[in-house]
This record gives sequence, structure tokens and C-alpha cells, in this order.
Amino acid sequence: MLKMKKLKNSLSKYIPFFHAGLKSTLAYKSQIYGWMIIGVIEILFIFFLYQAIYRNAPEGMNSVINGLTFYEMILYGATSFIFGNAISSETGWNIYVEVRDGTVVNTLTKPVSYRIRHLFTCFGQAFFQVFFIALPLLVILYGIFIGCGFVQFEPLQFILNIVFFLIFLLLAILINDSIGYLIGMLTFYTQHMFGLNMFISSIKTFLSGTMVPLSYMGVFGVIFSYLPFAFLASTPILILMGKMELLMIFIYLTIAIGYLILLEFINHLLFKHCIKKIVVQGG
Amino acid sequence: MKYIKLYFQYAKLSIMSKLSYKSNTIIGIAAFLFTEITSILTLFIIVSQVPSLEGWNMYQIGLLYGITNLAIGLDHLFTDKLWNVAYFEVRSGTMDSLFLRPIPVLFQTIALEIQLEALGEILTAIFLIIFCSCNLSLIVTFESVLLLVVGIIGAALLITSFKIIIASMAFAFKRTGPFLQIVYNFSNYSKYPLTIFPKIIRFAFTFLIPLGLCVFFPVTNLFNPSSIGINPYLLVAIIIVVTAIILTLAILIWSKFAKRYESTGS
Repeated sequence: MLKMKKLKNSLSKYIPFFHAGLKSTLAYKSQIYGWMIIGVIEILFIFFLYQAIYRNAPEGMNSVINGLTFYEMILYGATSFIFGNAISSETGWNIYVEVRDGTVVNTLTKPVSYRIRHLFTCFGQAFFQVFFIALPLLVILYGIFIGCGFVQFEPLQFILNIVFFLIFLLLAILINDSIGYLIGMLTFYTQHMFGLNMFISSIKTFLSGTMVPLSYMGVFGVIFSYLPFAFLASTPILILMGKMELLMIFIYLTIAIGYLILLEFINHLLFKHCIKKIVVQGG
Repeated sequence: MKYIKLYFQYAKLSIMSKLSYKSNTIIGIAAFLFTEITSILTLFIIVSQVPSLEGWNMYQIGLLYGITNLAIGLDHLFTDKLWNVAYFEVRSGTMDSLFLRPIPVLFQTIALEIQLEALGEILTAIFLIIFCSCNLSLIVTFESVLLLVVGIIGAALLITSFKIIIASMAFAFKRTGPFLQIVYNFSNYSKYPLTIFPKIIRFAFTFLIPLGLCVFFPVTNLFNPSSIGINPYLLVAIIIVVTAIILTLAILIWSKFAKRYESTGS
């Protein structure tokens, strides 16, 4: 009991960082409209491209390609776009800006954990992205697809899918933030973010199954599904769509937690090395 | 002549400043190279699911993708600073110095930056074009090559023109970067055969944002000349005229909006 109280007290000092993350996301509301227009363009593009693919498949629009019907493929693409935004984290950029401007020393001298501080800022950002954008959009999307009979789910199974999906959503936010933090740490050495960020973004997009489901990649797709990036799109989306067996869900859950612990451990070691290396111009 | 000399001076300065941060430049080029490779792999993975996509095989689609990316890469190499104008520079007031010099602001904006990172994009596009061409029986004649070269330059200039128009609006509205991003994302459609899209999008890419006119028809002409339904020389002339009109319009719009530039007063 005493320990819990102590933990609560020590975490309460990070609440302002949660608010900062939330407010910084709210401050750029206009960007959300831009993101939505881009989303419509991207989803329409996915629709036209896969429509042409299925139209040209041997069994036409009724074909099942790599385990997905045409409507399931569109649902996968749209969910993947919404999911990608829900878990996006600014941690890497925030660390880079602090390293570039030298303001990183201000936070290092304060009695707060550098990692937990950034994690709470990420939670603030994710809170808005998940509860005010992603979940309402997913409810509308699945409502339309189920309502129109494009996809079918058994009610109880679907509720279970949603529960597991939400657990994997939380894990995806944490893993993505850990990767962002790792990239941020690397800017202590490179002093440059643009190229690094682009590099990791394309790795994530490709290996997570954001652009194309991993089942399209044959044996490589199976290998990629065990990498940490798969938890940033493919695994949670397939769980929501009811495309994964319970046993596999538990196996992936264990792997995801393992990756999270490993990433945080690497981040911890890297941070210890970085603070010894830091040089702030002008002091 | 004076401007050509000046352009090379600016370009030299830009390259020298980029090379003073060699590791950053190399990471940037490698990042673009890697991004393009993953995009191409994605394209091939999707297209390989079916024997052909509306009559286009994998290599023909790859060729179209490569040609479009080459045009996008050329624009990226020479006019990348327009992104900064649309996103930050008007807002931060850093364009003051350009307005004080007796040289056209648009010329300086473009000449001030050679974006070496675009080499990653250009190199992968060239590799893809060569790879796909080797796997296709292309009809290579003087007119088909001329049409292709004019098409690539035309497409690059069209992208630049749209960037100029949207970036210039930042003089009035301070920040038009997200809008530029939307148009840029929309232009990705032109990397795929127009025939997979509905009529309205085909119309848009032929007449409104005529990237399809510059890329889709010249590439089609390389393996199926009869299907484009127009004399290649006439198409060359149309591409030149359309590009010239849109570029002129873009420069006029820039000049008009540039008059509304005001410093941040800091």
C-alpha cells in the first residue's frame, strides 16, 4: 500500500508533461484537417488500386487474395492509415530539437526521468489521437462495413477482438515511442534527424504491413510478422479483423512485451552513454 | 547570361554548404534511396498478385513508376526550397534578405538550394527504368525518345509550377505547406496506369494536373503506340505548350502574391 502511494506520488510529477503533450496536439488542430484530406486521398488510392487488382484476378472481384477479400483489403488499408496516426509519436523529434537547441541540459538537471518525461508527453499526444480521432473513425468505418454487409463478424468474437486490439494498440504506442526515443538518442551522435527519421519511417512502413499486408510477402512476411515493426500495424489490425487465432494472439502478446522490454533496456544503456557525450554550444 | 552565371554561383554555394555536413548529406541520400527501394518493392509485391493490371504487366508499371519518379526527383533536386517557403520561411520572416536584393525573389528561392538528397530518388528511378526496359520489348524511335524526354522535363516543370503556385500563397496566408503536401500526395496517383482509375481522375490527370499527359502517354507510346490515339509530334507540341502556359501562370501568381509579403517585424 505504502509502495503504491509512493509510486503514485513519484508519477504525479509527470502529469504536467501529459498535459503538455495533449495541448501541443490540440494546438495544431488545423493539421488534423490536412491529415484527413490526405487520408481520403490515400484511402481512395488504395481503393482504386486494389479494385483493379481484384478485377484482374482470376476469380474477379470475388477473389480471395492472400486470405483477404476485396472489402477486407480496403478495410485493412483504411484501418492501417487510422492506426498509424493513432500511435504516432513526436518523441524522436522532441529529443532532436532539445539536442540541437541545447535545451536538453535544462531537463537533465531536473529531478525527473528523461525517459518517463517523454513517455508522458507521448501519452498526452496519444490520448487525443486515440480517443478523439482514431476510435471514432474506426467506429464509423466498421459501422459502415458491417452495416452494408461488406464484412461479417460473430458478435461475441468481435468484442473479444476489440479487447485484444485495444491491448495491442497500447503496446503499439509504447513500442513506437520506444523506437522514436531510440532514434532521438541517435541524434546525440548524428546531430541530424531528417535522414534518420526518413530511414526508420520507411522501414516501419514496409515491415509493419502498413502499405501492403505481410501475407502478400510469402515466407518473408512470416519472418517480418515476428519483428517489432509488425506490432505497429499488421498484428493489431489482423486481430481486430478476426484473422488471428487465440493461441497466436497470446504468442504475439508475449513477443511484443519482450520487444518492449528489450527496446527500453537498449534505450536505458544508450541514454547513459549519451549524457556522457553531450556537448552544448554556448553553454 | 548573367542569371545563368549567378545560378551556378548559388548552386556551388549550396553544394559546398551541404558537403560541409558530409555525414548528414550521405544519410539523407541513403534515406531517400532506401525509401524508394521499399516503395518499389511494395509496388512489385502488389502488382505481382495478378498477371496484368488493366493490360499493364509488372515491368511496364515499373517503367511508368520509374519515369514519374525521375520527374519528381528532378523537381526535388532543383526546387526543394519552395517547401520551406510554404512551411516556414514566410512565417519566420527569413525571406527579408531575398526581397532586398535586386534579383527576382523566385530565381533566388530556387537557385539557393540544390537538394542532394534527391539523388537517392533519381538513382533508384534510373535503375528501375533500366531494369524494366531490359525486360520489355520497347519501340525505340526518335519520336518515342523525344516524347519521353519532353514528357519527363514537362512533368518536372509541372510539379515545380504547382509548388510555386501553392508556395506563393504563403505570402498571403503565411503557411500553405500542408496544402502543398496534399497536392504532392495526389500526384502519386500518376505513378500508376491511369486506366486503373475512374474517368474523373483520368480527366484530372490529363487536363487539370496534366501529369498523366506528360508521363502516361509517352510511356504507353513506348510499347503500344497505336493506343495513345495521337501523333507523337503533336503530343510533344501539346506538352510544351501546356507546360509553358502553366509555368508562366505560376510565375505570374508568384509575382502577384509576393507583393503581399510582409516581414515579421522582429
